[in-house]
Amino acid sequence: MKKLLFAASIAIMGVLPAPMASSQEITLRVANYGGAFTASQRKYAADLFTQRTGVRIQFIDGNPADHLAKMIAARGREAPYDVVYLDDDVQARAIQAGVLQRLDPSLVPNLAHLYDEAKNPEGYGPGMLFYSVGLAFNVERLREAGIPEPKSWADLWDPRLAGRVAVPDLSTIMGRNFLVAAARLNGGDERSLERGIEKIASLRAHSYYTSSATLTTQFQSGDVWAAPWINGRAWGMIDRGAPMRFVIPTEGGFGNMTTIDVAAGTRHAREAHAFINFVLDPLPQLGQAYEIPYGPTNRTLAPVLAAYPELSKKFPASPEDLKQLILVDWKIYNSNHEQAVQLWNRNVIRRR
Amino acid sequence: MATRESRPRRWRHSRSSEPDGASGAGWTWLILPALFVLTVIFFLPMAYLASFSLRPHIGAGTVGSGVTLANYVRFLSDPFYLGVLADTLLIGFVVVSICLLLGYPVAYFLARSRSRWRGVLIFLVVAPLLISTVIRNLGWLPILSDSGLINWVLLELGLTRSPMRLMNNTTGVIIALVHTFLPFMILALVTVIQKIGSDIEEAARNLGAGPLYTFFHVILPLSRPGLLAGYLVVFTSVISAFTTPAMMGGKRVLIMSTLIEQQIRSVLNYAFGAAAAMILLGVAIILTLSSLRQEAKQ
Amino acid sequence: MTTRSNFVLSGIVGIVLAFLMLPLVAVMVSSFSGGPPMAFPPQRFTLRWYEAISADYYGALRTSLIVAVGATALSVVIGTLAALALRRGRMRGQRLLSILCMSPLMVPTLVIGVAGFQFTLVLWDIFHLSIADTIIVLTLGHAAFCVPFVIRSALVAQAHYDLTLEEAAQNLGATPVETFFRVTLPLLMPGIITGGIFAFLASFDDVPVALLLGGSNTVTLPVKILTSIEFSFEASIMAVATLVVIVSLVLMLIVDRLIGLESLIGVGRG
Repeated sequence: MKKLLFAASIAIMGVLPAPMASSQEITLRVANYGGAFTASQRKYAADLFTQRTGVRIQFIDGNPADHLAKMIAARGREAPYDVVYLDDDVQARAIQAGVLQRLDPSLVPNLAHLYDEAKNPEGYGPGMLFYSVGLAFNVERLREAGIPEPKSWADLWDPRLAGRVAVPDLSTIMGRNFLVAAARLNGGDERSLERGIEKIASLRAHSYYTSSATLTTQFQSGDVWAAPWINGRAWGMIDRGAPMRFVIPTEGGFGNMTTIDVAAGTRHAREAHAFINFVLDPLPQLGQAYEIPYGPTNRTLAPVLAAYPELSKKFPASPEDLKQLILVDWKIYNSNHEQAVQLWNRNVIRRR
Repeated sequence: MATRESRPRRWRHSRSSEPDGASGAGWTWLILPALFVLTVIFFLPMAYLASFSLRPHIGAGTVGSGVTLANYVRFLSDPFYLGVLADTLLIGFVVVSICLLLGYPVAYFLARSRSRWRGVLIFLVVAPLLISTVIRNLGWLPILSDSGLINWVLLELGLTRSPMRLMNNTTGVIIALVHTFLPFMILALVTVIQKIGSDIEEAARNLGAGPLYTFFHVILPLSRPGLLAGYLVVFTSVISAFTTPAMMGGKRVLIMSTLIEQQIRSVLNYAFGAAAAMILLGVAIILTLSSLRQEAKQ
Repeated sequence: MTTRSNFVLSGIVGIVLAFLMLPLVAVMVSSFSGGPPMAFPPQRFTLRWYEAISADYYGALRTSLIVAVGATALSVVIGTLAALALRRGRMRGQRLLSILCMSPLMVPTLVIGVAGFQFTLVLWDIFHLSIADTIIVLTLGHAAFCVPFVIRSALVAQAHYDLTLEEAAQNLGATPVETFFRVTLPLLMPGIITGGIFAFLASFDDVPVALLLGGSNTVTLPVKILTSIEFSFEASIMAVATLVVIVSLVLMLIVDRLIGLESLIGVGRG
């Protein structure tokens, strides 16, 4: 399988445009998630980009919400980043805060190759991958403890799992998705986030994780047995031999996009556009999907994915797959977000 | 030693018996660089901090103009925030008390010991202080985590059936803070105990007092101001600490320092964050002044 | 003291010392463990975490050292001058000046950081000066709490200072300037060095100021480690930490030989 994928990539590479003329020592500061995702983007996008153009990429790790806070804090002064990877809901907030630039389509020709759903209607950065949020759990530990495998969000509240569930913090996309899931369990939705807070407050969590890297360690050490998580990271662990499983809960998993944008006020707009274009190229997209199973947004890869169902079953491989999942209305969510954070502080984490 | 009379007459008379040039108005100018630098990097920013705390919060990352007490009112009238302040003080109290209990025997030993190991022991006590706080806290991960040393021992010995939560909560913060400040407490206590000559203790012992009795009825009363001063100093440092609670509390432990950081870096409410910072500062100043008064009493 | 209470006391001292050493030992043991860093007991001795230390850590170390050296140098110069002025100057409001110069010690470092950060916003608004995220501003931010350390140590050193030594020097024909450089300064040197060491350690250890005044261009080692713990936890963190512990211990031994650790007694910051 690996050989065929490789051959397919080489073939696709032949179709790619000629490399840019190399520029002097420019370093792009790119805000990313960290951990395995930064590593895979470095491998398949950044390093290759540097080879072709001479432009260096410096990744700065953190949650998109933290990156947004930094950009807002620096408003008017020098932008702290040139390119940012953001969750789609964070992108909506960033656009509203005015810290992103619209893309110049002539500098990002790959935009034409994307699914329509991945394009931003207002001309800002596109989605560069699709992913889903569902349930990840450790099969071995559950079996040893005699607990049946969870099939729904509600199963996380099973008293036998008390103290073994890691709840994602609101600074992560999983956290925000899970909050909506909890709200739905409690008879509400993204309009009534306080119901979600109420529900989550009643869950005896092991801890509240703020990054996938932390959760990976907690799963590895066996401290945590189940958690809402993102398909790519969970499958990453499964592919490396961890005794885990990732399922879409019966109430519905959540569909999301990771967007890549140009920061407002960057001094290297051309190089930023070029990097974004490169990230959307078939080879980096395919490499990323292979390394961590996220769905590429570049349409041209659809036939390749169709030929390898073992790979494409791990992620939303197309907009149709995405529509099977719950798509949160982030505009509504964002208008309630600050209040949700306050309630979270008071009711969820303020306990010994 | 040269006396006034024998000093050659070309030297001017100064009021004190100090040699020429050892003091005088000339030296005063040397304070100017420090004053200037401190004004720019400390006094001015602090003044602006105070002013930020009195401005209205009009949006993430901005402060409005005009003077308002709204931020302070918001803090002081909300039981949630008052609870954060109370938690901070409570944690401070618990940590320093534990430090006092654990530190006193060690300080007593070091103060009175004549053994050749004294130097080594002092080195071991001081060593953790000179290693970066972040590194010290990193070491607690393999010890306090669910699969770490302590839980391994407890589970192997059958003392518990499921791991005890010792990290990412207040317990972990307290353990790590005790570790951070114990050496300070020990060193402060050594000074205090040394001030009370061992002859007084010997006298008490000769009169038949046991070590515990001596402690409560001889050493404690004599060293009370010094003990109190040391207590207050360490207490102030504990409530001001940021790195350790941030690392060990796992975003769950909300005390003044982590609250302030959250407001400034995530929520971007600069005005409220400034107000919280001023409140913390106020408490720290009151405590420091109290400790200085105690020290002066000694 | 009776042998039994001696024994009990030694026991307690032993336990407390073991507690103090525990995290440091854990860091070192963990760095060689093949399994996950949070787990005990350690498995499979390996050196691969040391090989895996990414170059970013060395960059962060460099930044930390540059800032610490800069802040210490600045503090030593202006702090010593200030201490001399406070001890020997004859001016009104001497006590007030003394309190002013030491006041940063009363302020939590986090508050200094917040004040500094908000000050950079003010500087932008008024002068369109963007100085955040530069080595200079971080050095100055650290100097805010380093200067008082030096002043305090230098003042303490002067308290034990015998002015008759200067008198003797001048009796032997030295000019006031010569006296200063050949008698005063050398005698004050241990105190100045102590203050300098405190300042350096405080700067190197600092997290709040570096977090608030720094950015992607000025990542100090503690900040780098903190970010790594949250966002890319690999066991090479433990390897980095072990190296820091070893270097610190070696430096400590050197300092101990030169001036004796007992002279470093004092209360610092958390």
